Amino acid sequence: MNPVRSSRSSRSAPLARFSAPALVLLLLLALALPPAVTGCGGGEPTAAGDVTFTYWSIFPVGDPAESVHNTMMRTFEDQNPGVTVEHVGTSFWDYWTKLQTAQAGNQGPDLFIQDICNVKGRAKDGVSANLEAYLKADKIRKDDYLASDIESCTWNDELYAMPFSTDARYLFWNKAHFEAAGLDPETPPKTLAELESFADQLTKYSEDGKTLEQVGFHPRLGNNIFVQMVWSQGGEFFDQDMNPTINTDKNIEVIEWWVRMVNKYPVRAFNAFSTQASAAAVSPFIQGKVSLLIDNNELAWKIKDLAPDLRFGVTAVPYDGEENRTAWSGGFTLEISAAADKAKQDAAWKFIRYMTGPEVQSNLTETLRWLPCLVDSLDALKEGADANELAIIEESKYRRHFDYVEASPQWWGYVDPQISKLEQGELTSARKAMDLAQAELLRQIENYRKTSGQE
Amino acid sequence: MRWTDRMTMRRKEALAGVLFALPWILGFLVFTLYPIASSFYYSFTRYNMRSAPLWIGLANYETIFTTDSLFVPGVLNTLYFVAFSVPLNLAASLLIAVLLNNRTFGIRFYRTLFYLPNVVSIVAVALLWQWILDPTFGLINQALALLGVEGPGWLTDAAWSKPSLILMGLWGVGGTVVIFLASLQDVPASLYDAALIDGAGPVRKFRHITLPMISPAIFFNLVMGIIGAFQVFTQAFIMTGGGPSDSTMFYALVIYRKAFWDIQMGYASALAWILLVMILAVTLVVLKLGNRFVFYGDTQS
Amino acid sequence: MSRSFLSSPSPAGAALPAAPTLPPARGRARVRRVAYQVLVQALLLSFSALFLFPFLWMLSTALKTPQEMFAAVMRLIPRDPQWGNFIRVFSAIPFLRYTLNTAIITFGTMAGVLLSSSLVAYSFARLRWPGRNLLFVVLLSTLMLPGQVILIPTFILFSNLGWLDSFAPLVVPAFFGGGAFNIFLLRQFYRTIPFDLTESARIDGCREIHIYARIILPLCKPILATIALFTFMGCWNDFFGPLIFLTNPDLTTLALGLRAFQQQHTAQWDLMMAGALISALPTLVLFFSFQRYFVEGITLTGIKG
Repeated sequence: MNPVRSSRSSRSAPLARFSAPALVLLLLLALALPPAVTGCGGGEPTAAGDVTFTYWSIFPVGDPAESVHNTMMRTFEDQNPGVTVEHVGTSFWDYWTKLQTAQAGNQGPDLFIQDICNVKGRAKDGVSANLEAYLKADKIRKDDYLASDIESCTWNDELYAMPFSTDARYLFWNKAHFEAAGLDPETPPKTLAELESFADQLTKYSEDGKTLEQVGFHPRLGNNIFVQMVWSQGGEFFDQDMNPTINTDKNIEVIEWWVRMVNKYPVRAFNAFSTQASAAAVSPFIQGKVSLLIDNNELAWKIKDLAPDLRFGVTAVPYDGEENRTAWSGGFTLEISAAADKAKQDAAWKFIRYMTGPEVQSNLTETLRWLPCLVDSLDALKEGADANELAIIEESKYRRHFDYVEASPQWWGYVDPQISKLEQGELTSARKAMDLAQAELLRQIENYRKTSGQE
Repeated sequence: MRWTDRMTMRRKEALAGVLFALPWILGFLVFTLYPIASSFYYSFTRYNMRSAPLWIGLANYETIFTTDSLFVPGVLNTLYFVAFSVPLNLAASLLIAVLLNNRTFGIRFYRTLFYLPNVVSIVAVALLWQWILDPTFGLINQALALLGVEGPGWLTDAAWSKPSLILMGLWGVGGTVVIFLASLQDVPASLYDAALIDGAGPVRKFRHITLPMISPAIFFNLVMGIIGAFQVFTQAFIMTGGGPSDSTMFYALVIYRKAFWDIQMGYASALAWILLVMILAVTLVVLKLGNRFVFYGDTQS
Repeated sequence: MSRSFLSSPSPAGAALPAAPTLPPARGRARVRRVAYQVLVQALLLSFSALFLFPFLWMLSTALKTPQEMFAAVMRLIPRDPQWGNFIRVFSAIPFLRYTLNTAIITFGTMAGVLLSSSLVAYSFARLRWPGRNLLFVVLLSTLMLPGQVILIPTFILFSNLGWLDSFAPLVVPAFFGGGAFNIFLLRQFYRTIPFDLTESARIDGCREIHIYARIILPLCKPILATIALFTFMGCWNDFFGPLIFLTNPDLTTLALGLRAFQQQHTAQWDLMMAGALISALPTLVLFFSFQRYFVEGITLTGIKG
């Protein structure tokens, strides 16, 4: 006898009563599913030659920038009859997981926004399409973009991504603080030594000496990383062949400076200071609590919004020699899926050309508050710009992205804990710390080689 | 009863057993087996989620056990977390559940309250805790200061970061409390009546009636607590990112790093399978011990 | 011995006759009872502050102006409460549409979980069949792999089934087992029910499905309510499943949709908190009403002794 079948007999009234609400729910579900399933088809009849391509970005519904981004897409569609952009926006914090998973399952979009720092990996693995033929056909000159951007988008001498937007790091200084400390408000520090001595003069404690009221300069505040400081002093983390050179004398010297700067502030006082600053969710520079800060151009726009009366200056992160002038930078690219149909790729390329062309690029700062990658558009911003804006434009041309290391795409994450140990006093010698970091990175690379299947 | 009857009953019971379990068996075969088997396969490959997995045999496992620098700290940090957070959570949630099982003024309100942290958005939780645990302005250290004690840098001091995360976890005991509460409702009143006649006090009643009667729920919360604690991730990911000095670098965080920092899904899968074996071993021991200490109403096993 | 001793602290107090039928409490017992009540209230009150605080803080953030949120000193009570944020959130994102989508997924999953897990757990708890114990360990071990490493194969699976961009990957699996956590939880409760109770019914020729539906299920209301609550909350707040399996913006759920208020460098904290609070309401209402099951307990306790 089959107990399950017997349950379906009409005699079992109690059971029927028990499951009535469940059955209603089931029916609801059954009703709800079909539209959801068919909803994805989107199969409206289209004229021959019309193309629809899918495009994923970091602008979801509800993001303040979404409407601007939509306007860009609609304008493009108006200019290119027959081409439709099917856009999906996902919050920046979730976007990368969604994109990566979808692409691993061959369900990725035809066109997508990506991170300029790791284009090479996607090029090598055949995720992103080679754009050289399009560049040639449309006579797009790579020289119209910054060499460092193009380099990051290039693999085996060919381009796999178009730089779309970027940022850069600068030294911000509070002029009122400078005046109060008897420093010339128009002369920011130019060297690490100057930065240190200015910071000492600008730092203020409460009367009992327990509370930090004003921080001169702290390398961990703002949007800064040790890599920026090292680069500006001529240090490098990798040689020509991408072998790690973490523990060179130059690097160690800068890390020593970094740790000295951190340790100037009593741990408790600084922790209290920084928590209070971050709890307020706005830069301590805007609150007028930090005199010198390394941050990206975003901070300048925020000052405009939140503290228009703040008197501040923007300049390069102190560098040692013109050849080391560097602004650490990130950025977004537009890339075409190598797996997409030719027709969709062609249409997606038209959209890339529009998004990386003068029309969109010239307005990028105004609309999305990003710096444009097209150099002419960047220079066009100089018109009517004040001194700070000029500095932002000029310095951004010295930008540089993280080195791409296949074995460890986020290599700095393996160096930073050693620096933290120095700051915490768990290690006392910067050389020892950097030796450890070097060994760790070599181990990562060696482990990567050992698991490559090519032994 | 004749033994043939008993045989038919046995067979009927076995048939019913399989049929009742069939939804899960089917679901396992269709929805679970493939992903699990795939990850097992990945663990013997190099897989960067972009090109097809490449078979490399035991190289991932070999590397993990010989030259991986985060494997051992990851295991130790995780064991520490499991050892302290599981018993602490159990004790706290049992205490709260017993309190909430009283008939007292405003009990419906209290019961809802204890579940509140579970419905608050995780981002809000993280922000809030950063503030609560702040060395100077944090609620905890300000309270300690009133007592004349200088509180530590909870999340910034490598010696205190793990205890801080364990304490934070206490705040989300609402789910466990609800299970205990449901279990306490199942204790037959007649047993307490009998105890009363024997003149048992509250402590003895709790030890000799309540505890054994809810032991299946304790056992459940223990096993799920262990499985969950071994995979501790979110708090550390949001609050400390593994630091300071890798003191909160829990095993799941190591897996995450390998998968999404280093884009080595094959290696991450190997790490995950080692974790599975560790959890399974501990769970099996607990299951074995559980049979001795857990009091079930049925007499069959 | 007086029964009054038992009237308040007993877990089964609810099932006992109400106070008036009790004999008058004697002096010492009453003092003890009052002392116990005071202790309980004191403990509950002090814990409460801890548990209520984050919720109040969320409410306070939802009501703050951006300027106040950026103020250096944190205040719990906003100076100028922005109740309008709770309305603004409805126009900033298609809140109602998201709510509908979330509700469909949640109730579908709840139906699946309750039906399926209660059946399967019955088998694991009260029926003897070859391979049961081994499969139970397999069931438990499905909980032991971190989601990160099965994410991609799961995605590929649903992609091959053609279920992407529908609610199917989020709902249908619930009907096939209802989750190892729930099965295990129910199994533990089923097993506390005396075996004699069902054995006699079985000898009387009662079918297994009837034993399950008529004897076991009615005894397990508190735990079924618990599972319903957990499932509701899990689904309602899950943003990861919808993030991975749903791409069509029309299918977006609340938890996923609210993430739009957080951008790379900024966030609309006020809207995010307001949205999160509104979306938490159904769970709270559900919890508050499901308490009936926890309070009432098992009225049939008499048959269990």
